[in-house]
Amino acid sequence: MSLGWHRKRLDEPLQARVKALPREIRPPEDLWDGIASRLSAAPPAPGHARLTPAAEWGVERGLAGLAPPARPWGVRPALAAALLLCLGGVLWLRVARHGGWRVAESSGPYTLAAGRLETSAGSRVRLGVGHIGFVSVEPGTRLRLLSTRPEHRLALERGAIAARISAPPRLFYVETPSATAVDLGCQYTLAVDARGGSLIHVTVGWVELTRSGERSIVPFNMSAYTLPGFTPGTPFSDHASDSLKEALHRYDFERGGEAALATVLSQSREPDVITLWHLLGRTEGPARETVYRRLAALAPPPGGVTRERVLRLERGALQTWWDDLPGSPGTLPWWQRAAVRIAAWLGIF
Amino acid sequence: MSELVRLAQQGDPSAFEQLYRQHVGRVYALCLRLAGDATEARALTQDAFVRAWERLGTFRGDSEFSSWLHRLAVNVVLADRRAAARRERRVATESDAPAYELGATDGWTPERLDLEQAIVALPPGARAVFVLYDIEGYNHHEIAELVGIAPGTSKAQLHRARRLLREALER
Repeated sequence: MSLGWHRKRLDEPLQARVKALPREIRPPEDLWDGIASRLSAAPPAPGHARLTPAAEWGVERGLAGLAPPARPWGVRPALAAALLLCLGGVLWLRVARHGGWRVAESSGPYTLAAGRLETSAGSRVRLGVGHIGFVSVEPGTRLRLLSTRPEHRLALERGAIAARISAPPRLFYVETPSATAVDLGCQYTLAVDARGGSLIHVTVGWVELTRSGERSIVPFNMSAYTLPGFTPGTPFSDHASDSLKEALHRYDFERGGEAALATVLSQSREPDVITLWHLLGRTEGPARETVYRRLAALAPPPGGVTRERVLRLERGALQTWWDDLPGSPGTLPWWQRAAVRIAAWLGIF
Repeated sequence: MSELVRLAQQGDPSAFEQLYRQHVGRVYALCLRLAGDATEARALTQDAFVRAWERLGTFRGDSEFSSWLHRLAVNVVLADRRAAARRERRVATESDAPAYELGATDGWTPERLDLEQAIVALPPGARAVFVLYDIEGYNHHEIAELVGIAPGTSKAQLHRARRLLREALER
């Protein structure tokens, strides 16, 4: 009888119990939405036979799969200066981006345990997001701190937050029951109601709302609703008329159809061109052509962006038009874009 | 190589979603047992599938896709554990103990829950070796390579883990 035999005898009852353990455990919630929102941002794998899925989705799923607007660069002198900044920024980020969550300030009672943070009806918490920004957690809010790598990610279950992030895009994600808000360098408020619906309002930069590969891009001074089971709502301007907002809500979430779309188009003005641009991918056939005509009347398409290409939802044409739309980040003077970029890097929004 | 894997390699997200549905249970179970925390396990499961998507092009079909995915998930979890050990990652609170939530699965019994919780309570090194050897079926040389330890250390950790589990279950 060896020591090995002795150990084996002792281990037999344990081994029997271990063998009975299941090899599979289903997670308590579906994780696919969170994964899908990151797939489109992931680089193409070496050896992929085709280009990135995002490029494919741009054609197959309308505007849903379009890459977010290109970050505003393009002037060589600015690029040279930015290169130096970026090198410094990369070094800074290696240190700063993966910092943990921390309570920077609080007022009133709150609970924080096992990654869950809940504020009472009269309390507020200012939560540090590594070294890239802050999240103000409003009264009556419940959220979960999910991860700090490879990006900061939290789940807002109910209540409201105000996020202020000074970092390059895609380092801060907020999951809600109806969509994921992907920070593209910005400040915004986000509220979730009891039904899991949400309303986001962006004040600086822009945010991508994504759900199962469908997405909306919400620039500054615009808002969007989301609802469980629906594509993220079409963004609307702070200056949009009430009747346009109501009609847009009917179109997005209440099967408003042609009547709602007709109201949106008739009420649309120059501040609503981002709304119309999104609607190109959310309409078909004659309706899409009607949207095209209204958008072209308010913001004529740049050279090379033809009616046929837009109606086919060609990714390049839509991206070029987006970059040229009044109010889109691409239309800012290069020095303004550079200033915003530098401010973001330095954290001085 | 299965048609789903081939389509996913070509960039078809719906094919990849089906692969996710087929394999998420095993990947999540692995992450949950290695991390010992349901919140971490969810994040790690997502990380593993995102990493799989990024590296699908390197899968040649020499082994089963499930084996390839599983090994990749092990690497994701172990890399995260190593990084976590090097720095303070989260807000520290008195009650910030690992949270082992029940998964959405049938078959939970008090006896099984005792064992799962005893596994979670093991020291990280012993837990990793126990999960990989006794539950997932890796041998000591494979574990040594994955974890970055000597095969002898792997054996010692396994015996330690079993002893601690026996003691915990006899209480």
